[in-house]
Amino acid sequence: MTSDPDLSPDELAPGASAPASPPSGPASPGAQLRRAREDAHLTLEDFAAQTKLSVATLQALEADDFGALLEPVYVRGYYRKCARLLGLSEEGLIAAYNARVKQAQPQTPARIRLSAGSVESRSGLGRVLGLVIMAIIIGLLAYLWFMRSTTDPLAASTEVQRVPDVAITTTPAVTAMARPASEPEPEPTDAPAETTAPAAATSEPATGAATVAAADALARGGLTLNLQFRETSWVRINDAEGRALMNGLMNGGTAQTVKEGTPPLSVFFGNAPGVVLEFNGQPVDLGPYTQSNRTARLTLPLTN
Amino acid sequence: MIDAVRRLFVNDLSIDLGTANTLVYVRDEGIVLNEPSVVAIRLDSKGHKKIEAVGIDAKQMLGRTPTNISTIRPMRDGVIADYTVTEKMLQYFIRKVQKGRLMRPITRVVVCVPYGSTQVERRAIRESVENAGARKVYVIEEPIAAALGAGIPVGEARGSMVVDIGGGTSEVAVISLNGIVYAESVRIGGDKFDEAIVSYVRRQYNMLIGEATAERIKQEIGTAFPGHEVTEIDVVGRHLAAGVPRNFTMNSNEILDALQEPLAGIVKAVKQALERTPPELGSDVAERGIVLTGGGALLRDLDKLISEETGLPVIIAEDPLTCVARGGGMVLNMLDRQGDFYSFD
Repeated sequence: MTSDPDLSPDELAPGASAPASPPSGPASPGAQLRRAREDAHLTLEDFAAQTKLSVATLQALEADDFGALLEPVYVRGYYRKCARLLGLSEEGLIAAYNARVKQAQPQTPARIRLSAGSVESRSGLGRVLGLVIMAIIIGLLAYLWFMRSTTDPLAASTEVQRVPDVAITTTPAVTAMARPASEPEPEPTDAPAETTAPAAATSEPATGAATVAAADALARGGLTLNLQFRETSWVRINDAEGRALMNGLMNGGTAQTVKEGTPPLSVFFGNAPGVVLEFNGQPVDLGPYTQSNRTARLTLPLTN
Repeated sequence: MIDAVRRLFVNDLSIDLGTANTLVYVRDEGIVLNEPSVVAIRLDSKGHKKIEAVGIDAKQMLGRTPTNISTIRPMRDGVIADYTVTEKMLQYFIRKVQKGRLMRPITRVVVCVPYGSTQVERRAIRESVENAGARKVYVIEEPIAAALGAGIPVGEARGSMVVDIGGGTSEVAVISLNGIVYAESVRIGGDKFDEAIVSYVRRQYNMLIGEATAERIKQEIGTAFPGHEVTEIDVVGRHLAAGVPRNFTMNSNEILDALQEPLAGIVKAVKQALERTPPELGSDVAERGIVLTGGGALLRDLDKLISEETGLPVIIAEDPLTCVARGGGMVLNMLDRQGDFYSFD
């Protein structure tokens, strides 16, 4: 009376006619049940009383009438119950049942009462993922844009303006050293930078070298701020990004050059009359900006 | 592909925070953690508390610790008894589950609460899960999770009865159309069985045994219904009068006797639930039977006891210990479906 999974179909008790011809292998669970029950000399009613299952359910079980039976979870439970009472192998019965019934995943219910931390009709997953992807894209775009904006002028100047650039650096140098008097006839016609460079050279022959640097920087797309301190003065220069380009007390008789920074620059001098300022090679008159206390505050490039 | 990306960022867990065991189900992976809800705490010389061990390691220390280590079971009767320790324990379990991940994912957790728990108790559970590292916490009632995990089609307009016997509470619920029609929660569970065995042994044998021993006795020879062959077990306890450890033998009939009171409580709850179930649903239950889940369902012949007492067929769910966690896992799968569930508080 132990498990009899190798019970061949022809040994089955009469009447155990499975509706569908059972596949080869272990006997149908219904046939196993029926045989075990009859071996135990139990009538269907006795068996029903012991298991508390209805006679109809037991009949369906023995006839393998899976359509009349309920969900697999219950049917498997019934088999286990019967197997334990009759001394059959639970696994054998359930394996035989599983082999005959296609395993359907229990469907998830449509709605369930849940309590969330906050009321939320839809999960945050999509939103979170969307945000993450958006942040990545924005970050990437910003990075690309930043890279372009910083490299582009340089690339342009190296590719296009390399030749005039050389001309600029040489011409004013020659002008400054050999002939202080200007001679603006040769090259300077094309680039606007070139016109300013000789002009600077003419107006300020003493700072020829600085002018050369200025023109050079200008040609590279940057800005040049030349500061000559005739007297000691406090100076503070911030660029558009709030970076301090220069911040401190400058002694009289020194000169400073600022070549970087994002315009517009905000400039402040503590002793404006003592400073000579050139922006991109052009002198800036501090007079109109100078206050009564000798300080001057202005923004470069000048806005009119 | 989308699933893979989602899994990278989002980690969905279903936690069955039980009195006796804590189970963690990870979406798409299954049950990955099943450890006792026990924490061992060491008190160092400066008076600071430090977690010494959690889970299986801590359980082995239960009742065997020196004075500076205390083993705590932070859950009692299905709800939090020690808030901070529960939080630490959850933190440990969640980290353990998420070990080996490159970055900390967004963790969504479905956590189960007993049906009979109060709002304060639910809130404590939710908050401790949140503090343990969950971004979002969904609270679901245990009977529903148990029914889902057992594979009962809860969405149908038919009544199904689930009896979930956990470590701290037993829940009896009649479910139809995804909701609980009637439920009864009694604070009787595996722990009460153990306590009953301890007090029975003290009464009958004048011996003192620990909870761990009582649990072992219950698991090995415990039975809920007479009729099986009688089995015996050797137990060592401390004799209360002599004060020395003594050997004695118990048999399954004695355990049956010891468990009478808690078992009667569960049977009473089942009967009461049946009494209060609307007749239409009651007939569904009578036809299909009562499904037993939870660790208590493993007590031998408990199904027979309930079946005899109620006259209804009683079946034990497959893998009853993990039903609640798996049911929570099924809820995880529906979290992403649009607007299908609603919240309550």
